[in-house]
Amino acid sequence: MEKKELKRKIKETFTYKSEDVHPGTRWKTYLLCIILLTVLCALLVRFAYLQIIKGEEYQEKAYQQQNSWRTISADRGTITDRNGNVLAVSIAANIVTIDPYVIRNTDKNNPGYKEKVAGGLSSILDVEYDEILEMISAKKSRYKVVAEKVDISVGDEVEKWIKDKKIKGVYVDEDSVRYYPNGRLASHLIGITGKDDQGLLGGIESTFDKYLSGTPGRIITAVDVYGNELPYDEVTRLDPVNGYDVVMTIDATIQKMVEEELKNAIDTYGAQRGGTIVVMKPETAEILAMASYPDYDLNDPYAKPDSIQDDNWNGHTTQDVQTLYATVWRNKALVDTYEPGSTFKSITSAIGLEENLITATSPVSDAPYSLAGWTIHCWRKNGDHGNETFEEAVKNSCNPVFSKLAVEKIGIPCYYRYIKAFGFNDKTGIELEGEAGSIFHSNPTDIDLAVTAFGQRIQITPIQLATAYCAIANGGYLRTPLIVKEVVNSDGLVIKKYNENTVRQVISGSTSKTLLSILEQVVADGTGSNAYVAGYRVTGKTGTSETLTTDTDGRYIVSFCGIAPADNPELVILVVLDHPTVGSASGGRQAAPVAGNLFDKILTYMEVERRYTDLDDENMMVKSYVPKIVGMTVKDAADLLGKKGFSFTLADADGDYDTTIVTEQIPAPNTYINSNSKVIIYTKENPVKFTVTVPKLIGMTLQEANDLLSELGLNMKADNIGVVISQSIEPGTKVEKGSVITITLENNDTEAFG
Amino acid sequence: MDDSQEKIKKKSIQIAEKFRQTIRSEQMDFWLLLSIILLVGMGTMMVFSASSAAAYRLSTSSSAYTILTKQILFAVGGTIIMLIIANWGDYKLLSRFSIPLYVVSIILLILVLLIGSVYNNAKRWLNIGVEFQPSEVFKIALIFFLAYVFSRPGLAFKAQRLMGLVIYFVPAVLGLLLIAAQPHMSCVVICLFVLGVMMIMGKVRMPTYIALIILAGLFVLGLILITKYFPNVFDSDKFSLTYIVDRIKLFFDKESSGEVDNYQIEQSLYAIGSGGLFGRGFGQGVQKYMYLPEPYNDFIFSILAEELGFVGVTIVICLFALFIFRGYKIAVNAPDRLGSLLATGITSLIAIQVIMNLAVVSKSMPVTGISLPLFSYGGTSLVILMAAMGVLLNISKQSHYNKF
Repeated sequence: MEKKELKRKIKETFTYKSEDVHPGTRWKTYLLCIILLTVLCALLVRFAYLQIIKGEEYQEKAYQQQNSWRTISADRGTITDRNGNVLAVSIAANIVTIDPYVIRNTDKNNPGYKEKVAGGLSSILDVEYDEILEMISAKKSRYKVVAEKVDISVGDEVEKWIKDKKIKGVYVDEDSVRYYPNGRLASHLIGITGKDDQGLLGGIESTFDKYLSGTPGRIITAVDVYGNELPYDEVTRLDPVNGYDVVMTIDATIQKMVEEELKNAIDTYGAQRGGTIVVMKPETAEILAMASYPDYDLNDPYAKPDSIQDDNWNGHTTQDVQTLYATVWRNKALVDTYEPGSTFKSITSAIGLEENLITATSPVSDAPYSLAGWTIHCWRKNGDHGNETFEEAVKNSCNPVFSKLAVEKIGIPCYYRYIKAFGFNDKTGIELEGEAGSIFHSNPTDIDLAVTAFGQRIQITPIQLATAYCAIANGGYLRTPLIVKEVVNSDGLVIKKYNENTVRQVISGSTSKTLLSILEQVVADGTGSNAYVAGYRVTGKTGTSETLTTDTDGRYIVSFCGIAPADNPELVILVVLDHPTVGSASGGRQAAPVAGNLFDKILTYMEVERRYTDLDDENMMVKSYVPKIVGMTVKDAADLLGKKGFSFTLADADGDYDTTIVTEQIPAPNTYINSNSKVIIYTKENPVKFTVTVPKLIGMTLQEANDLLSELGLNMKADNIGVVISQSIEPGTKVEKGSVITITLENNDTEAFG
Repeated sequence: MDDSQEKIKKKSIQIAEKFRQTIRSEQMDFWLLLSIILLVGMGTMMVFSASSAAAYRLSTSSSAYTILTKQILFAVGGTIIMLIIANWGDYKLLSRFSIPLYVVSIILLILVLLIGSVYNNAKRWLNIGVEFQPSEVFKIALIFFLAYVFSRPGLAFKAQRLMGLVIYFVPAVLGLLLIAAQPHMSCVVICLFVLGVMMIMGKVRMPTYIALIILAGLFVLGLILITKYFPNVFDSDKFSLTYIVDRIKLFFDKESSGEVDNYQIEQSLYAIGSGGLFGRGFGQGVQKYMYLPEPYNDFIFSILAEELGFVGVTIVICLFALFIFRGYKIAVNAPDRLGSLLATGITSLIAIQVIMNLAVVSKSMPVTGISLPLFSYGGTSLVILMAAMGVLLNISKQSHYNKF
């Protein structure tokens, strides 16, 4: 009984339900409860999603917002030439940024603050008032750059204004500006920096940007929405890492000579599409200079090119930029291809010689060569060169000889194998962007080969040809052309060094030597004679090719590619002039003299010893009569003297060449002297004559005597080569400048002229 | 042997009886009380953390402890009031003041429109000695009013039928319109929800709902017609309709994240998101430094999420879930209709506010100013809420069910 009672009571205790006083609402209440708890559960899931799945993303965003930073730009590395001459340098400047949030929030409590900031900034900086107001209302970014690359003095002014007016939300930080001390010099090689042009201009600035640019620093602050720094976080300053310096292989002095010479040549010959000159060191394939014209000023790259007529020039529109790319920004040595013409005969010759299919003395015929319905004639209109040796054929640039050699002896497979070996099928791999590729016949036939043999109907880049000539010059090693020597950090530590990189040996050393001696004849006594430089054995090949344009005049490209000195090559120079309009187009007449001048100047500058040959001496023996020039205008006198091979010095020059009359000349008219002599011209009545002391010449060689006398301003008359044994005027005598000293020489030691 | 067995039996009966008495005894609901105290405690803690940032901003105000001191004062005061009402009060007695209370709350709502102070383009605060929001009073008054109407014999019979539209619906709508005029739309939504729940639990008959649907249809039609023929009527940006439409537009406008209101919610998401699983640590939040508006009020839960992480979020949501469950348990176990309705109303009021607040801060619904009950900083509103909690506990004390 009691047991049952107990059980009932316990059961009642645990299963107790109060009397249902709310019939019908009990389940409704529980349903409501379940619905609400379900919604709560869904929200919990939503939080899980936000915090766990999207957590990192929001954390990042929050971090960016809370830890606002302003960048401090790194100093861009310096670009120098091989001797350390600065070509591009960064100058300290300021960047002015604003924090729109801070300004807007300050404006809320302090109406008119926005306008005050905009007004103040626009009065100091060259930025429109409205533009600044717009930046202040920008909602999505924490920092807005108002002006970058501003002068330090302007930056200081802004800082002073911030201090004086207690401005919040405006910051002045370090920045840098690029400056090119030499303006136009090597403009195509250096290129410009800038967001829109990056990589397109192809200069060192863009190609080596990863080394030059450095890592920008940051000023990080944890801030609240008003831009106030938070209590527990300090301002962190991450210093910028400055960019590395780039040392180029070019020599600024040589580059300057080359650019001047190129511009002169283009003016002289009216080359309508400009031209390019490449100067390389054959041993290492380093580029010593590379000029292209038209050029531009690196400090003002968007200026209107002279050739363009456009009153609405702005420089930054798409069209204007395209124009700039097509004209002044174009590095013709790299980006443009051209038909090399006869300069390519050196390559054909190299193949023939290397394959032992021909020698310098092999007999060849210049008779017209007929092939597949085409006939290839020699360039000489009044009869070909007939039977000659191969050396003479190169000298005379006889097309049929090369076609025959290529088609009949070398053959297509072998020829194109060498084309590939010389690197004409590939880009040279120079460390500059934008290099163009070449165009050769894809499935060459015999006639294709016949014209390719003398460089027609193919397109190559100037740098490819210069590189191939380097291989001819250095004993047969094709090397990647180098434009940069090394990359160094600010402590001078070398980060990256560009060593010579031999791609392959194309021809043997002996072929190289033979070919150089053949090419030397081209300059000594052939189509390239205008490139002749006394004392430096210049070798090379001229080229004249037609372009596909239909211009009535000047549809030619004239070129000369030379190597000097022949016995120990120091330089390869390629001169290409596009569309010359003055005089008949000829590589020999127009490009060769440019190359000659450059070999003379550059080799002298490089202090390469002149070693005169018999030929040099013989050339010096040529004599002429000094014409009578007294009474003529200086201009006419200069022309007349020039025709005879004389040069002149205007002793008391002032005034205009066209009107000034020559009053006296030394030597006197009709003096029979060496034709490289210098005539001294006076233009005043009873001029005060310059005098010099005659040196002792006995014991010197002809060339030594010549050098010494011409340095003093004296002239020489000699009939022989050898060693000076007597002189007409005793040493120590004072004579007028320009006087002639007759020397007698004895040719007793022939080895001296080896 | 028998003696000892007898003793054991007697002892067992005594224990069972005691246990029975305990669970049926006049005690408050243990879990409800626990959740309330924990929530208020955690809320006060978070208010301290959030307010330290605000104090940092308001460099003029004396110290970081100003807001904390106030909050502690009101939390302790509120708890005392809650316990007094729970222990010594009687909800049946209190309900006799339902109608006067409701009338007073309506008067307060009118007063706030006349002499209330304006914050953020809305008149919500009334200062008569103490500064408070009459809408907070109204919410409780509405629950008492409806519970009274639906529980009083005779009156309930009429109220459940179409007559009810006059008995409770018109007075309720009057209050809602007054709140809408402030404007305080979130409060209107909350009151509508509570009204709906109370009507269902008050066993309102079908004709009333049908009548209401027709009325609502006519109302919408009227609005459309007015907008069509008098397009300038709603131009005032104070008018609630355009205000609501703007809010909803903003919610779906993902692009304008820089705009002021979406800015708030974006900041809230940054806070919640950067909390991760375990949070930055108590007091280590960054978003409270003025990125979040009213960090100790509407967005306090974001601060909690940032500082205590998903773990903290789960704990608080569980506490609220516990509260809601126990609240409805009290409702179904209440000794009479009045108690049941009161408990349902109060629990629903808390539940809907919690859900809306969490939905807003987690960008699950359009932005609307709504605080997290029991948790957010709030002087008088906390006291009023705690008084309501006292009523809830008092109901549980008077009912017989398992309070553990």
